[in-house]
Amino acid sequence: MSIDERLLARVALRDQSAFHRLYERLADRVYRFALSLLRSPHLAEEVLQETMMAVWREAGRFEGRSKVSTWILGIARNQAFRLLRREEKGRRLPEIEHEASDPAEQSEMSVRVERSLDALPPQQREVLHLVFYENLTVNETASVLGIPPGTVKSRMYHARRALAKELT
Amino acid sequence: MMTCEQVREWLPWYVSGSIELAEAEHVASHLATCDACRSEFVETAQLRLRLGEVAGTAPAPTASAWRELHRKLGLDETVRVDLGSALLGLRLGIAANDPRSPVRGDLRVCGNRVRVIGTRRQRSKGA
Repeated sequence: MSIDERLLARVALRDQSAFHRLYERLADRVYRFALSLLRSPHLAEEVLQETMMAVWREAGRFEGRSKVSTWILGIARNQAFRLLRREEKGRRLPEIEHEASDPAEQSEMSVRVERSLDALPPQQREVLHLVFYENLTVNETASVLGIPPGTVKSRMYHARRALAKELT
Repeated sequence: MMTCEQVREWLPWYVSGSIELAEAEHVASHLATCDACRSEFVETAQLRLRLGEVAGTAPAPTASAWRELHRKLGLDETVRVDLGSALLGLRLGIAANDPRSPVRGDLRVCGNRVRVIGTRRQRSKGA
């Protein structure tokens, strides 16, 4: 049993210190994944909170068929798309927010990368993030996104083509 | 033996090291003999590097995220301080979870709990 599995089992028994440890281990990854999808720190933090609330409530339903982190990223993904739908339906979708940083510190290439990512649909951005940043396998990516492995490869293909045009 | 199309499909997972050994061997042996796919491999590796740099410099969640989550779930986080005198068998326990939350306390005299008037009690919530 992995550390995350042990912590999640304790969370299912309402162990708050285990919940805090699990949060410390995974919050950054959940937040960055949500940020890659929503492109807004404010909304990404909302996804992080909703995701961890779901983890606290649903920990007992984890069946061990995937890694704990993969299971939690799947929850985050659902929360992010729920939030996207809410924003599209009820209010205007917020402008893409980038953290205010010193332009001198941000290289021209990273600005181009950010802009190219902004132009991609979220379904392609999430594949890029899970594969290139989380280093998930095809099947793990498919499991987080709830789509067939073939669709993962196809989305990756289109994302790479679009980015290659902008960045090379 | 994989075709060029199959190899290019696997390249993102090959450069990320998240591919089964059998497939990795097929990709590697193809790359050794195919200039076009090798060029695609370099391009994919560069793309991964650039995306990784951007993702790696993304801001972290704020420190208040945990506190807010804690508040939303109504979790109890208690720091307990005991004051008193062992000689007189007197002990005053004070617990608090947040400066803005009510302090709760109890008083024990010679092992017996004595009701304290004037403090507010906060019930711990499970979820």
